[in-house]
Amino acid sequence: MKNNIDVELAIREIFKIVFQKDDKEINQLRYGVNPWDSLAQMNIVTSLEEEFDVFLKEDDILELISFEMAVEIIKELQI
Amino acid sequence: MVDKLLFNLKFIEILKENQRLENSFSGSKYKVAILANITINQLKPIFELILRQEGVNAEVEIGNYNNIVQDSYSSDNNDAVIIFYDILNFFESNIFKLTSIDKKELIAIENRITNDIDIIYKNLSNCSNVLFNSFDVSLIANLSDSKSSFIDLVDRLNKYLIAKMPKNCFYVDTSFIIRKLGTLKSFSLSNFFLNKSLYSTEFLKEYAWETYPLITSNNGKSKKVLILDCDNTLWGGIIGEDGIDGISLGENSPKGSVYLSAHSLIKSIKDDGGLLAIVSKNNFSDVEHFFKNHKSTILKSDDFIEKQINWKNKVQNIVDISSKLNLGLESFVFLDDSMYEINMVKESLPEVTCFHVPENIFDYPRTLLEIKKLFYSPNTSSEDAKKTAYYLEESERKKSKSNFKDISDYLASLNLEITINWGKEIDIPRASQLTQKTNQFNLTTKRLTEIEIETMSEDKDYLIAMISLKDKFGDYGKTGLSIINTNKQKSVAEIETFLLSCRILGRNVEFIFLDLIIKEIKRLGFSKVKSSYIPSQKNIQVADFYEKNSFRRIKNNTNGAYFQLNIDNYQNNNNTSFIKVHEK
Repeated sequence: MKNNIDVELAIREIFKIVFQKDDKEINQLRYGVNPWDSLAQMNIVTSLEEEFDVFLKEDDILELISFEMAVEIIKELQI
Repeated sequence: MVDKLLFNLKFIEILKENQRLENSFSGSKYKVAILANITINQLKPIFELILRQEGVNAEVEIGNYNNIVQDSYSSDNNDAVIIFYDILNFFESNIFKLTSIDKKELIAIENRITNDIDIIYKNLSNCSNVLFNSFDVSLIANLSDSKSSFIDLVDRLNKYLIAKMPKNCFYVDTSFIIRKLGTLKSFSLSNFFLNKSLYSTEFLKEYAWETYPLITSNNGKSKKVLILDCDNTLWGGIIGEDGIDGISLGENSPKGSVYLSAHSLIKSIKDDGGLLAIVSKNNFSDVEHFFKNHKSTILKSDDFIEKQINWKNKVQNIVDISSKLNLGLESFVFLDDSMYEINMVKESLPEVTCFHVPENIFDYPRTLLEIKKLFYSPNTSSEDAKKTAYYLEESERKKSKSNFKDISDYLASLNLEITINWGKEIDIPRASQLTQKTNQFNLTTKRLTEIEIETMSEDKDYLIAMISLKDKFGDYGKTGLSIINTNKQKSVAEIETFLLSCRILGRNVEFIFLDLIIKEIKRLGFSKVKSSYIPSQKNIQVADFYEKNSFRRIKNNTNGAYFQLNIDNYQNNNNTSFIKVHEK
């Protein structure tokens, strides 16, 4: 299990690769706003599940609408 | 080199590595379109990565969701098209509906899908490579369904797919991959209900791994030579220590049976046109004694074109074989039981694809099936079965060559005879195969399918010339091809393809072949000929071929160099007097 800082760094890295954006832009991204569409969402979910060895339920996926929420969801799943 | 390490990469690592590799390519892209009635977007980075690792500058595009037929109208300009027509998504959102519909509805579905198949085949008839996945219902079927109508429907659809399949299409039996992985690992119901993405990433990795040779083979990337160790590779045990009676090969033991199976699989690679060679640290006489006297051996000494059985470094032996066969190391596969040797080859010759005989010997046939896949060629021709014989004859030529100090004396001694076959009756599978496999002496590297060549051969605006060559040692077979656009309205003929198999290089055959082509173009009433050199990673040796043969360079651009010849200025200054010509 990763500590909170590692979790945030690992998720940031996932977002950087999926969206090909730099650090500053990651926090601005919102689900439903280009380039974060349902296909990108699928890539985010697959990557988070593999990275943290967790399973995201439907509610988690619906809540996953920003970088901050991704961090929060994973932290909760890791408790 | 493609590495099975792909399976150890997380999806995010695949995305990252794929993005890194994308920037390492330049030039024209090999375009692959995936048309699907399900969400299949995660296959894009996986397939791109595997193709890019294999040196193909690939770009995979996913068609619009559930729009296969419409997309097929505009997809035949791709280099390859993959069709995921999933019957499970025929009723959107309810993949289990198929289990409960009546026969009348099933007939309507069958009619609709067979009609779609006909349209897709027709629309993609000009695409050089189409992979059409089988229909599969293993996700929704169970034992009690085995007599159900929807199982019969899927069976009939797959039979229809195969029966109507044109030459440019390949049937991909996805049930093979599902059986390999298991249904639970192949499908993701959560992804399906959330995104209409039916398959798991494990399935997609396995799919890409199984099918990429079908794509790369159309790109001149098929493997050509399988180099094998002997001890614990062709038999169990060490022949120098255990002796011919102490090694394992034959039906009398489980281990012996595994090696017997290995012999059959290795032989099948040869029968499909692959070349076999041995690189082994052993006494030559022990190995020859094995081939002559072992009762169970399926492989014989003359199945191998080269045998480097000595105590020298294996890397040097492999390089020697590459040089003798005039074949690039990237077309080599090396199989050995020693990780030390494998690592040495991997380190020194990264172009060579290496496989390790598995520790668990019962997995060995599976390893060989993986290897066999890399030798896949979309079109086999009658020439394939003769390939080993050609190379053995070549070995005799090389021995003879060493007796001559002057190369022209040697060439004259060969009694070379070329037969040129014009137009209609050329061997189309072989012509296509030459375009797919020839890399070095290939001026434009245009990969053409049988259908494309067949179409050209029936087109009065195209002239196709194919040459065969023989000498006193044997027949080299059909080893040269040229395709010339002779559209009279253009007033200038254009050589679109000019290639020679590496098997016949160094005999001045290219000059007499060009000579014959120029004469024929002149006979057809043309006074000028255009040609081009399109550089690839392999064909630098022919960059100045046209300029050395009276053509004038008229243009250069990022794609290549373009030439023109005024036929009145043409001169063949090369000595070709020792080659006898027959025309058909």
